[in-house]
Amino acid sequence: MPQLKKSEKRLLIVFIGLIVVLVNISVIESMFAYNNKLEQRKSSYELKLKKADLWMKQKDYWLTRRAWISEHKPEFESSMDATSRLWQFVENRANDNQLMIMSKTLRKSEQQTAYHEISVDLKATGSMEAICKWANDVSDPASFYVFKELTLKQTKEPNKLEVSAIIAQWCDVKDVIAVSEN
Amino acid sequence: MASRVDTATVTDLVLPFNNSWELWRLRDDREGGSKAEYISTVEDPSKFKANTKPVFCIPLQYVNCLPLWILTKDEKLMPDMVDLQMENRGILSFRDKAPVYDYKVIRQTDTKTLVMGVSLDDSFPAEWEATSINRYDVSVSHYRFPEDQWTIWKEWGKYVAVLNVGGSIVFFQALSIQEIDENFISELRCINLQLFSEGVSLQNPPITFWTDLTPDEKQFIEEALKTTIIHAERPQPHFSKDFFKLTPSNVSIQKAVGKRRQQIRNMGIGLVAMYAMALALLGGYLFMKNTEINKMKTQVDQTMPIVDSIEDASMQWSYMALALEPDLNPLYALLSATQVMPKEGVRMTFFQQKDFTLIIQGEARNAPTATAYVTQLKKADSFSGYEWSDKPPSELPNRTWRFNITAKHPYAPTEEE
Repeated sequence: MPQLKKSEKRLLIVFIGLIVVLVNISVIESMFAYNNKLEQRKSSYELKLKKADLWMKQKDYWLTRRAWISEHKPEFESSMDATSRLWQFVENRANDNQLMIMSKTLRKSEQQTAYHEISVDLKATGSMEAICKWANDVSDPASFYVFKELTLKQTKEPNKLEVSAIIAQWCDVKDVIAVSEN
Repeated sequence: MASRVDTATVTDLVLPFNNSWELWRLRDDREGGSKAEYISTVEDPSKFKANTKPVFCIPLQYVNCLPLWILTKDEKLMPDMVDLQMENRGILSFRDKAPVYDYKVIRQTDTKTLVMGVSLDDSFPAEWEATSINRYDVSVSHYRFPEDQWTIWKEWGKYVAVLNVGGSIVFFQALSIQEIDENFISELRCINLQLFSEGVSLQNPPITFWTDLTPDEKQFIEEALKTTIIHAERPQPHFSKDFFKLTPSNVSIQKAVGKRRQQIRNMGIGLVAMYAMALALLGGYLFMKNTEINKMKTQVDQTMPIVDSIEDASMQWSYMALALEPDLNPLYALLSATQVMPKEGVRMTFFQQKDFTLIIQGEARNAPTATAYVTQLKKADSFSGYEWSDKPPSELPNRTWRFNITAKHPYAPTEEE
């Protein structure tokens, strides 16, 4: 190998030095980038662990509630069966509380994320006391009856109110049969 | 079997004798004494393979010695006075950048001090200058000489004479005459006469020869100088802490440059080491962090199925909140709204709860009564968390005031949901 001149040696050293500096900058940059990536991962896991900790503290509370839902949610053979039962229930409770039914409409049953919904539209008139009693009778969380809408209006007659309600029941049905609206 | 040598107490000595060079290994026994071990002899001093950086003893023919009486006892003044005297006598060499010389205090009287100045001669061969040598000295520092006597031996091909007075070396010189004849006697007599006249030497001190003399030569010297001639074996060199510093200027400069280079190299190595350590620390930190994250991931992976199940249970409940939460029952809202209603002056004309939205309309005797009722509604515990929107009461033709308020239950899904 030919002997290098002094200037050539100096150039070679500068060249090697530059390569070393560039390689090191690249190494350090990549280490810091990796550090940032790790920080992000760490933050994400810390957040997940905090969230998990919060949920774990409520574990018994929510699992007991789910168990209660599973135990109590009504289950019917078919949507037709469920609808007729609801229909009968609403009518009986209105009659029991001396409400005068003005109209009653069956609504289309719908499958929601967590339940199957069957519902009835009801319009009736009665005294405030009768309406309150009827509403109380219909409100039964253990049977999953829901007032989706309740409207009370004054009528021209004194002490008489018009009530308009959508009453639903949330349940599970084994065989869904479409029920057409009346 | 190799043995460990404590280099702090071992000195290799390159010593000229007769016509060759000897390598001696001196071990300091830490009690003021030393042991000398002869290693080898060579013609060329650069051929020695010393274990440590050796002490190179310059042959006396390349060293000038000048005993001086100086009129001071102040040690601070001595260096300048010795320097001036030696320069004045022309024995300082300016061949290199700076003259190389040293001095030693021999004895002191009430007013003056006898010092022995020693300088490196111009003729010192440049090929003996080497940075691998620890220090340059003269051989006389490493011998014990008989007291109040001259000692003569052959060193590097020349006779050399050393004068010891009162236990201290006061003078040494390489003799110019190499045959024991009249000239040899004259040179020795001249030297001693001058030293005697300066009060440095005795009148006719005995002479010890470390080299062999024929009986004729011995008799000739004894008769000529009227003194006693003793023949003795040269003693072994010894470890001396009292030495001259005669390192040539070039060597000192090269050593200084070498030391500076070494410092720069060490600094560079230190910086590289620090940088490498910093990188290693950063790497270690990243490794530790990654390990910690992996542990967290394992923990999350183990917990998430249970958490998902709990979250799912919560979602299921929230889907059914309208059926299951008592405060979402419209009857509860109706009773709460009537409970805060005053006994007189306000009546409800319209009530509606549709999913999570509540609308209440009514009439009041006057505007403040209407406003007070609306305020009471908003303050009621039953409606805590509700989001209210209402307009100021408006007056009706029958001079009553109508109010109309809308509220959203806190569980109401947002627009995004």
